[in-house]
Amino acid sequence: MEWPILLASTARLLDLHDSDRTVGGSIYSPDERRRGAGTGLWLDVGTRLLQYLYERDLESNEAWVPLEGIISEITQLHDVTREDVIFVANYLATPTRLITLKDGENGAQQRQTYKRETALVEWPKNTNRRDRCRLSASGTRAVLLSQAAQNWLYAADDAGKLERAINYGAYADVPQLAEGLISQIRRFSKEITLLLERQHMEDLLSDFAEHRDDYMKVITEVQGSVEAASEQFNTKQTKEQYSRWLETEAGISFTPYTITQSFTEILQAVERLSRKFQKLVSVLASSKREVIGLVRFDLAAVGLAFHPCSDSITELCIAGVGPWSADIAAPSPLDFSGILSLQQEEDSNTTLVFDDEAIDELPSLIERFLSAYREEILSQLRVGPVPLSSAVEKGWLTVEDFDALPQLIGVYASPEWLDDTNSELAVSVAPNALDIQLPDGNRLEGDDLILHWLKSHS
Amino acid sequence: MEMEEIGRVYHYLLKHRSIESKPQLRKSRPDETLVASILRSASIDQLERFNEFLAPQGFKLVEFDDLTRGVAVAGRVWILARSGEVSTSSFLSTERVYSEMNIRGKDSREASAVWFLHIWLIYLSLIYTRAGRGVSEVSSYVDATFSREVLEESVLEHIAHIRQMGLSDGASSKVVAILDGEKGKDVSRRVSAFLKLMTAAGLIQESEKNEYQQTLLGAYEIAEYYDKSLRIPIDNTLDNIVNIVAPNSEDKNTEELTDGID
Repeated sequence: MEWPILLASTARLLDLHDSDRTVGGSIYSPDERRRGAGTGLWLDVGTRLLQYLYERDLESNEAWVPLEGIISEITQLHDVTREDVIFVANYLATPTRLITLKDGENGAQQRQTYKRETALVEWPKNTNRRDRCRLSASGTRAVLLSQAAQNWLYAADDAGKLERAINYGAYADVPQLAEGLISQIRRFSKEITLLLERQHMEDLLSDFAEHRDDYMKVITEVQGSVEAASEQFNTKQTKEQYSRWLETEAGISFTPYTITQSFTEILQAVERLSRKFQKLVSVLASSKREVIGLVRFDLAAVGLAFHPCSDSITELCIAGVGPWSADIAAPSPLDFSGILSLQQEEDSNTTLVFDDEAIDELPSLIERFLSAYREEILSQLRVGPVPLSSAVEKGWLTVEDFDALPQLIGVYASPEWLDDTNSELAVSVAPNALDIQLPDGNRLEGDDLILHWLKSHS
Repeated sequence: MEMEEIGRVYHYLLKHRSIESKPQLRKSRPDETLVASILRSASIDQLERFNEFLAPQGFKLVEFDDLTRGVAVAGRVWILARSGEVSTSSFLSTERVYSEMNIRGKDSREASAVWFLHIWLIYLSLIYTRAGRGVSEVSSYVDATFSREVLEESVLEHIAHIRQMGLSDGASSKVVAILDGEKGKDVSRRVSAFLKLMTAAGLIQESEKNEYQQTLLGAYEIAEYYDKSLRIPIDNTLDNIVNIVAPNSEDKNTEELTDGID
């Protein structure tokens, strides 16, 4: 990292920017008093943070970089707290105003203000969360400047290094070189995206107009170099050399496919870049670059309270870019999975019940009824027949918490429940003998049922 | 792609609107890995045929690779975007907008439409205007984050602003009556309904509880069809208004946009 070079080359310029000198004053030396303890601590935290954000972005390509990793790294390295790191990130995210002069029309000098460009870090917008951030465009530029000039035009040289690495048998360098190339491809691709999407990109546009053929040539050269390196790697001699190298300690984290995979990844990335570049070229050539810039949606919202649009226009807008839903049912098989599995469970319960398992289950209502009244009913039967009406009067209607009338009648329907050792219990009917008021307010009317032992039993 | 695979992908797209081979903000949905691998192994010719199948229905399939911000390294994202020929799609319905926005069950269709439109524009102002982002900047969808809280505050601010300017400045009495007639938690419920609609349509996604982000689909459709849709009422409105300002138009956010020559 070349941060000192970057800082050294701009320090005095910033001093001049901040100078309080009035025109025509005497000559004096710059004020050498700089604020702070001069430990270099906060600068180190800042540059580490920038470097980390840059590397994580290349690795993951995600929108935001979580700060946890760098916070623990820095707090272990320096005697600082989490809040200190957040403070530094916040510091770098705060824009400062810079003023420069520029030659305007008619030789008059114009003041230029820069503010946004001075913020190196960005927080997520419209929220107060401070657990993730990322480099702004200027932040990325700062890291790139600290690494000295890297530009797509030089990418061919890096691809050439890949060939040389294979020739020299420096296999350990291949994945790193590949990663570097891919990150250059990604960066170049981002510039193309900017051109395709953003307004007021005249500088970049004229750069592309000027270097279009050069850029295209670099793409072809990179492709050629990687293919050549790949061919070289696939010769019998190199393969054997690589196998021997793999057996050494240096090849420990490598597999036979590591190198091939690196080549494939670059070639795919170059292929996609090439397609994207072709698209840009065709857009530029056809002067079809219709980019829509900033729209004052906030103002439009207020305006629509003054000049409301018609229902049909609203409808058109929602149908065009608003939320829609399919007006047909489009269920997925998964939507039914809950129902289907329930069905399955029921099926398996009936087919897979084993007798000895049933013992573990809670007693059914009829079992609870029988355990409460079986002995009482049997002893009553020994005295004489038991009509349903008298059973009701005896209060065999409730068991603890439930109404047992269905179970009681069930016993009259299937007397063998009471005593399954013999089947000599019988039920007869006394027509219209039943007329009982139940405690719950219902009435039982009709034929009475009489339970009794068969004559032979007694 | 076999017919069965086409059916599977098509069905999935109608339901979820997008397929990510390695989702960054959420877990893979059931079946998502499968449909992603079907599309990934499809030939260019097969994808063209699939698009021919989608076109008469008013849709197109758009693929993004990892040169797009927010797409995982070596990943792919496919979106089912509208083709812009709305009239051709017979089953593309907007009825749900009216039923969801009708939070009291007795709002007029007009009231639902006004509420949706105003919350929608405030949402767009958060992720475009306030962020200094042009409508064509699709790849900035990863920056288009907002919390439910901020959206609700901005909507309340907007209503207060309209109330303050009020009828005396010539605001439409109908619109003022609709926006100003809210009681208690109603605005919050309208915002919830809006977020629900947009999420269901795949235009935004909830990255964490009450934190939202525009989706690639949402950004792509606005960039492609703004001209044919929202531009019509917005240009008309902006042409007509004189001496009307938006709330907070003098704050620091807009100052950021004026970098450069004094």
